[in-house]
Amino acid sequence: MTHGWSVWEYGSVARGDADRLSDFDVLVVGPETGELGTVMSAAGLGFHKASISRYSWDEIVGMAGYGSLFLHHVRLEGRPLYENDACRGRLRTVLDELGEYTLARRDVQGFKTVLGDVAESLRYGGARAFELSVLGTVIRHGSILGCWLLGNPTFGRLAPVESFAAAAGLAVSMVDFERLYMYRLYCDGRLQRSTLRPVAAEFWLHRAQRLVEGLEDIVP
Amino acid sequence: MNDIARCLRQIDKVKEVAEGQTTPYAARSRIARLTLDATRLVCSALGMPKPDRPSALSKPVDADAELARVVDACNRLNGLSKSVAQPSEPLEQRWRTMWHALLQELDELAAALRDWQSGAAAQ
Repeated sequence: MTHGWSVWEYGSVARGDADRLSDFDVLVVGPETGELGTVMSAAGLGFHKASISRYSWDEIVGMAGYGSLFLHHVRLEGRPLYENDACRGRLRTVLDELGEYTLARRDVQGFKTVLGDVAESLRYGGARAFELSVLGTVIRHGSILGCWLLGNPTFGRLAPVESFAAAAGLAVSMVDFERLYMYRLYCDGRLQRSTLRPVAAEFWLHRAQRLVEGLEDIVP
Repeated sequence: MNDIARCLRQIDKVKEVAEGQTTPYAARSRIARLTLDATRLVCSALGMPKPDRPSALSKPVDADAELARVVDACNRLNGLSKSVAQPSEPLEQRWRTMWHALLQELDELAAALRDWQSGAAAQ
């Protein structure tokens, strides 16, 4: 197995639709141990605003084995920023040979589990802002999976929700969802508390449960 | 359910993931909820405003030893969670390699919470 470094960008910056709230999604593949700062510098990147996902080559091969949805995302939208001689072209080869995603059913179970956690936390007085951020995340992740299952891969912040809600016949106002998702950005430290607007947690919990039911109907 | 019982329950729920009883997708939110709840507990005990999002907590100068131990355990868990549950995709493989370290930290936090509870009850 190669031990080189490969740094790719993906997400809104790579797609060209980044806005002021976007972070800079970066995939770093390389040895399990090793100084990230050096390779980030070689790629011409600082850590500022970068949301880094770091995997070893063994992990990438393992993920390719189940047709990782994340790797499909990188395959569709990503581009290399830096690759050293030890692995030049290696990640592209892995991405080009990706098979079908095989863990959709497990993901749906994961969404249900997390929604159960949120319901319990809200019942026992958990931090509402945090629970709203979790709801926003599950709705987005569930929608990404739903779009994928419907043959319409979509990976943006809002676009997957808009697309899957329409396909599943769920009434979701994108203005309202954007308000909900602000809580995710707040919990990630990307927004100040003062920018948040009140949101009804129980309403969104119910919407998220409906969305997951919609996924259960289409998951193979 | 009191606040300490709630934290101990959150610890059990993270352990369910670490032990493979629950899908890794739940890891990120469960660890974040646990450290947030524990941090809120500490802040409440010290009369500080309770945070509503996960963040590292500086060890308060006037915290007693038991409370300081809870803060340290929370901060270490926060650090571990960044590697275990990345922004992109949770990995069973990484859980398998890191779960020993994670379980150790969970046990330490549980012990710190119980000791703190016993100390508070004795006063």
